[in-house]
Amino acid sequence: MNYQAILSRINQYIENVDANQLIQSLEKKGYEFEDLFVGGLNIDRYVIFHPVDIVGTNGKYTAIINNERASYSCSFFFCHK
Amino acid sequence: MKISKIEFTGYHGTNADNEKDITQKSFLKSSSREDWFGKGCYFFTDGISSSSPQDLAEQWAIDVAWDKTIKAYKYDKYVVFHTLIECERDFVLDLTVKEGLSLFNIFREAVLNKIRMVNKKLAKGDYADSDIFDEMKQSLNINVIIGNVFIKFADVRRIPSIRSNLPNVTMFCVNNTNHDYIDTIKHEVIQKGEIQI
Repeated sequence: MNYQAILSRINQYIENVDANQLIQSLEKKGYEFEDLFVGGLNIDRYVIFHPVDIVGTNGKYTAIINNERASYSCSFFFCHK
Repeated sequence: MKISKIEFTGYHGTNADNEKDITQKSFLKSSSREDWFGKGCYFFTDGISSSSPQDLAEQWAIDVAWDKTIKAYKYDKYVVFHTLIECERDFVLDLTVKEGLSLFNIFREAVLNKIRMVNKKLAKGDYADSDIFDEMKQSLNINVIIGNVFIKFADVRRIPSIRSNLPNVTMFCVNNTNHDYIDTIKHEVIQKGEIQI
């Protein structure tokens, strides 16, 4: 195995692969996807660059960002378009 | 520049009815999502098992002959193929070493991040390793994946006091063509047997 050669191709993959095409190919394998956000909120672009999941509703939201759980108010991390 | 190649020796046990097709053409790739490293053809090879890879291939051929739905053997004659595969080092993923496992984890995280970046997540179920491996083969041109896996052979299933999922065999998966059959340097039958019913 050539670790560096494969790592280099993974980095190219990260640069070049289109996420929507990836989702389409996974859907062909039977996967079903849903929007990451809940409660009718749109996620600000700032958050999009972080792995984020929302596990609560009711005005205050618990977000898991980079595996760390914290509560945020709507106005801090999320914005309405 | 000299191309660095690795040769793999493997053993594949199957229904004797497949002998002619395999001998004349080659091994047909599996397409099951239940397979360890995704689509391809699987071979036992030297590694962590206390049994020889040829014995493992024979045991596999016998085990998969059993149809638990009809509670009978689907076939009673089997063959074991000895096979040589060649692959450039750059296109081998070796999961028997930590660097290989690390590459898999880096790639899986990259796939999941891609999906998160468009605000999507799985509606239900889990991401299967086999699908991540298939994406690696397709996107990174990985042709051979070798790794240690757990197989619950029938003799272990008959011992109720054993519950384990630690790897017990070493296998490699080949997917080195764009068509249904894989390329080998050579493959030949080295053992024929009959299932004792």
